[in-house]
Amino acid sequence: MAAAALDNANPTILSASQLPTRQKRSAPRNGPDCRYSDLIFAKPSYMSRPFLQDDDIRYQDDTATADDLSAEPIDEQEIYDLISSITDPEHPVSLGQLSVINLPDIHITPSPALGVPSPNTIVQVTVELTPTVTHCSLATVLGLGVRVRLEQVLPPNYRVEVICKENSHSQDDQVNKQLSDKERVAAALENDSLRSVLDKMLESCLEN
Amino acid sequence: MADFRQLALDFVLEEDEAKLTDLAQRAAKELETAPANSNPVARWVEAVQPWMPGNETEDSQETPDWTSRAKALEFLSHTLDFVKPDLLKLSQVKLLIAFFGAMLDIDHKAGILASATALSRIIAMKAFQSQSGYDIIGKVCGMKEDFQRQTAKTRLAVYELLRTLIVTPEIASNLQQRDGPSSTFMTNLLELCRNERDPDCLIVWFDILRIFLQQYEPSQEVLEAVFAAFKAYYPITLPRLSQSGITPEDLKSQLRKCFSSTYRLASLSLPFLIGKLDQGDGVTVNVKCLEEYTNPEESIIPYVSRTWGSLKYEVRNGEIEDAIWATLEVLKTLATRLKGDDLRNYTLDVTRDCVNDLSNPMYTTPAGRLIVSVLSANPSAFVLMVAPTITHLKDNLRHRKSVTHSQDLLKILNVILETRLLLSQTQMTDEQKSDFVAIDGIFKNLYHEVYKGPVALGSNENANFDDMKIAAEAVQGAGALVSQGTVPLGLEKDSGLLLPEATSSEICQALFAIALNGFGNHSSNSNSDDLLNETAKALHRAIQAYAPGFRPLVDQFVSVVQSSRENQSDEAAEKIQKIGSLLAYVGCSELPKSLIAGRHNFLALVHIMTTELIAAIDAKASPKIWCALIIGIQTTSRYFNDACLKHEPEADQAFDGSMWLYRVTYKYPELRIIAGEEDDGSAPSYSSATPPKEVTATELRNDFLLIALVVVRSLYRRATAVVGPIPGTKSPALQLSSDFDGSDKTSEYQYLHLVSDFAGFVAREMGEAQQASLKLDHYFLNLFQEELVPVPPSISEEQRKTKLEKYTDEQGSSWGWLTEKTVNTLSFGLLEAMRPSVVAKLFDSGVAQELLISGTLSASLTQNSVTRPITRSILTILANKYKVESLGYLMARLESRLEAALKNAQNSSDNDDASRYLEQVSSIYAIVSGLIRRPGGTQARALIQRLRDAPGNETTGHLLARRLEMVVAPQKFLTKDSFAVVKPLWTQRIYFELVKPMLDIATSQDAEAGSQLVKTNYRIAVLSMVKHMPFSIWEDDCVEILRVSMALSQSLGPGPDTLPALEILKNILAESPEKAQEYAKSLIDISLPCFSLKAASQLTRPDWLPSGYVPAKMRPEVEAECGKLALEVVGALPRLFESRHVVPFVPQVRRELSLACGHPVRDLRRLARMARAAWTEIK
Repeated sequence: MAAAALDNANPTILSASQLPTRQKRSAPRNGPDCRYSDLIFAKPSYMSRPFLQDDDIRYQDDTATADDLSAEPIDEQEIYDLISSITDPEHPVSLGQLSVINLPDIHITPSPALGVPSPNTIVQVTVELTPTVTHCSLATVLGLGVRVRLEQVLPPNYRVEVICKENSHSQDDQVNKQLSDKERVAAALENDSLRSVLDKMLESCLEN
Repeated sequence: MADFRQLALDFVLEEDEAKLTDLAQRAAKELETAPANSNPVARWVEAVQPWMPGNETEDSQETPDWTSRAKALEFLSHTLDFVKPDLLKLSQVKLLIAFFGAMLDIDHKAGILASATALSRIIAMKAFQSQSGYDIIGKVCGMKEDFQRQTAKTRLAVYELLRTLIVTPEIASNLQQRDGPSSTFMTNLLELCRNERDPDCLIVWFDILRIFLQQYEPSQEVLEAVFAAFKAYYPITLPRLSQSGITPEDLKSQLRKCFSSTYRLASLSLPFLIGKLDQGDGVTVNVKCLEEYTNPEESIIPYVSRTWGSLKYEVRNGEIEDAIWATLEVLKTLATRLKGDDLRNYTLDVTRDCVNDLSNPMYTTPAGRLIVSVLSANPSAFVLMVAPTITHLKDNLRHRKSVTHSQDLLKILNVILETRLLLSQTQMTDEQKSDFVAIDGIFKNLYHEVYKGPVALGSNENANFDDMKIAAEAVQGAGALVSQGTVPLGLEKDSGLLLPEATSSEICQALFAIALNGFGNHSSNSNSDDLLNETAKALHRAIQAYAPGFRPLVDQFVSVVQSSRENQSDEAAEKIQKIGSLLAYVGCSELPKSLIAGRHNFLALVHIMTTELIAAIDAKASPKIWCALIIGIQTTSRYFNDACLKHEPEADQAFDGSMWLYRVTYKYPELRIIAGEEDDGSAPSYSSATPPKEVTATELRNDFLLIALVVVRSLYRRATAVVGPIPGTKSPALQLSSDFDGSDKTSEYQYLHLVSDFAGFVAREMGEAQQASLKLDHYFLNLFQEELVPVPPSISEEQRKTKLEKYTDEQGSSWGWLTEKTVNTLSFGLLEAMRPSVVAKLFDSGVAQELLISGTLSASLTQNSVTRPITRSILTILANKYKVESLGYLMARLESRLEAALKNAQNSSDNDDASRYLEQVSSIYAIVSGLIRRPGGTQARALIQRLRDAPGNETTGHLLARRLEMVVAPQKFLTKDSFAVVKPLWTQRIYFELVKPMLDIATSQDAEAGSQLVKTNYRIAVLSMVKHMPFSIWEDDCVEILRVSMALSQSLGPGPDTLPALEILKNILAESPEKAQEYAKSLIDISLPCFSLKAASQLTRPDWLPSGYVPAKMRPEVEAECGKLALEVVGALPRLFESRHVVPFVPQVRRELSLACGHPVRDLRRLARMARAAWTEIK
């Protein structure tokens, strides 16, 4: 790849705090006036095991932990979180920050609102990419990156489709064709130099 | 008489350092003691003759033995180390100088090191004449090129010699006299040393040059020559392979000293260094020079504009933060060195060059940094620059280019305000003061002109992302503005506040409005959090400076609380709680200069909160609001307590026990209404009734404790009511008052806990003498209802024993209500904070003994899940803070109760019956958990033995085994903070006494040790206890415990009993993975089912396991927790184990993990993805 000529040398970059995130309870504010909050709000020690054997009474913060452990299906936001942190091959920022990947362009069928699908249900995940410029030569590489990432992290009953958003690319039908061709995807992954580009892009996705 | 020749020979042949020293000392001694007529000095010098050149008699063609000769000369120099300075006569000194001087001349191979060392010693001799110094330098210079061929060590000795020569005052003046300004000797030295590269030598050489420049007055030519000599080294670094202990920083600093040694260098060094800014530490050297050069008119002033002209771009366009900071430092230093017109011209240059940049968002920050660096140099620079700068800042704020631009401009203004604050506290001349005061007008209007608008953005309900950012910047400035003081002129002593009162109070209100708006707003994000945090800090600062601003805020708080009574929403309670905490921080987290004013704030806030709380209870407001208010009270008290402690009050002064309440309400009349006394109708003044005089920190803290205790007392009294005498006795009992109507049980319960926690906090802050003087044990018994519940007197040991013997379960204890009924939350708070000596008094009256016995029974009869754990905690504390193990009659009673309960539990056919007895056993476990932490607690062997045997029962053993966790689990009330008696190493003891014997049974292969079922019980017992112990304690039994964990998980499958097993496995993998390596297969086999999506019913458990052994329905959090731990274990294996141990399982594990990526629980999916990545990487 010629690094010398960038397709889009000066893209719009969003700051990390402006990206959509899971609407969970954010960490409580920790201001100078909250110095003793942890102490005062602490659950009394007799209110937990082993002194408390029964499970029928709850203290105020019990509900929070229970929420984290309840069943929630894989939704669009989770898919977004999995792929928005992929690094762009040209710029040292993530695809989410470049708005290549947008939350409304992720579609899951059957809808996650119907609950957690059984492991035998085939779930279709479609991700529409918006390249930063319509002539972006790296659109296929981006698509490949998203595809590889999702295949690495989704369970086997999820089918992944990555396409360019309509009219976002001058040759979107060709790009789409390449991305949906399993043979070509497999062949591309055999290519060492392409593989190393992909690895570089996915490095930033490691969870902690 | 010792033979010098022999000594010299011995010295040459010897290697050992200690012996060499000894020989030299002997020679020195001989020199001192030998009779003068034997001419010891001559004999001593001649002793080395055999090794000297021209003496190789036999075979002169042979190469001389350089090593021996050097050693021989070292004999001489080493001896000199021990010779007294007054021993040698003038003639002898001359002889030695001539001798060693000649060595420098002729013996360039072996003699230099020894000669240089020896000469350094001779210079220190009394008889040394200063004019010889010149000769020595001459001899040294005579070495010419040979000098560079010497080893670094030798050269170092020569440099040391030279340094000694030029610093010794007499020699120095002799040198100057002889050579005058031409300093020929230095020219020669420069020639000699010009190629020095060794770091150790350079350090000394630079030092010589520095001393020369500072103390000699060389001509301009020599000055230039010396400058040329050291500037060639700039910028200096250390050779990569250097072995010496010198750091690059040492070298740099030594070279810097050369540059800054004299102002006469200025014309050479400043242009040179400015030219080299991009290299090395040019800027730092500059600072050094600017700071050190005397005579600024000649040295600095000519270069001011050139320095500014070059350096400004370093900041304006620079990118390296360190370099920018250093440059700013130079510019600031420059301003400190200038005066009068020079300073005026300089600041004018700076202002002119920078203000234009303020309008360009790209350069706003650098321009601000440049301006601030110069104007912060001293009050004069500040006065000269601040007016034009602020004018331009205001202009640009009106025509801001972007949000960040506004932020940057405000930030500059904030820093200027901080600078003013700092400078106003510095020492100033009268002229400076009047100049400083002359510009006050600029600041007085700053709020209305600049800050008002941006601050108001923050309290706008529809404020957006950008508004909040700007407001967050502006509030800081507003806070800084309030705290600005005036500079007192003439005879005035105190500095007042700069702003008029009206403006200060307007600012406080505006800041508080942001908080009111922000806390009411439910959606929180990092920006609004930032704004609120900055507002809190600014408000705190403002109130610290302007104390009268606090009261109106409290009044606003009151109206928020009162309006919330109608609107009983959760949000209202949250808002009250947050504003309460904010006010606590603003008003009470720091004591102002006048401690009385600090107490005033505390008293006002606590009084308002308490009366509002009581009013809320009266008005039957939601208990959530009660909670919010009691949280406010506790927060206020904690802030104030910490603020008092910062002033280091004396601790633990006993109170006036019986009269404390009367005294404190007399001193602070506004507390009367809280204390339940008649109100005299006057408005609270919040200052003590005694005439206001300054208080000491100790008095303040003690008053604080009593004021807080008044609040505790009134809340306790409000929460309890009497129920007529207990049937069959005359004793009264307390229960929760009618305020607790059960409409919102959770909140009521939380409120009780918060009140009890507050009481605990106040009591915990008291010292032992204070607790004893207040008779805290009485308040524990009557919960502050002194007139309703009489406190029993102390009785003798014999009487206590009889009393306990008379106690029957049927009749129960007349004090049972205290620890077993709903008021026990309140009694727990006090007991938790009581010192052991105060708890002991409860045993003096025999009440505690009764409570211990009746508490174990009540668990099974009347209690519910709320009261039971508290009762157990109370039992634990009683058993921990008093030596119950020594009360034989009590222990016997407990033992027989435990035995009976165990037997009954096993034999009862009815499930309910069995669980009742189990509850009794658990309560005794709670007592044991307090007991065993005491020193001597393990004396209760009979109890421990029964604990150990309990899991051996086939029907109830597993239930008892699980509850053993209670014995070792950590508890807050069993820590030193709660004055618990905890013996160091108690965990080790209990491991060996209780856990180890169980582990032996659990791992035994012997069928006689117990059936599979019994062994499983023991496994549960071991793991639920080991889980709470640090790895180091059971490290030796690690493999057994590993096996037990795996066996248990295997037979029981995922569930509550497997949870501790997985925790322990994870712990072992973290601490000592190599021990688990060979069990990779088992680890995988037990982990996979924990996160598998297959239904739990598909799991098969062994046949010998009775039904109901594992609860049929698993709680979702236990299931998720098991899955989490199992995924962590599996995910860690590829990293911890050698690949050959994991490779065989790759296909199976990868398949399961890829399925687990679709687990219903989100957090588990995350862990599964991580584990999957780890297993994918295995090649």
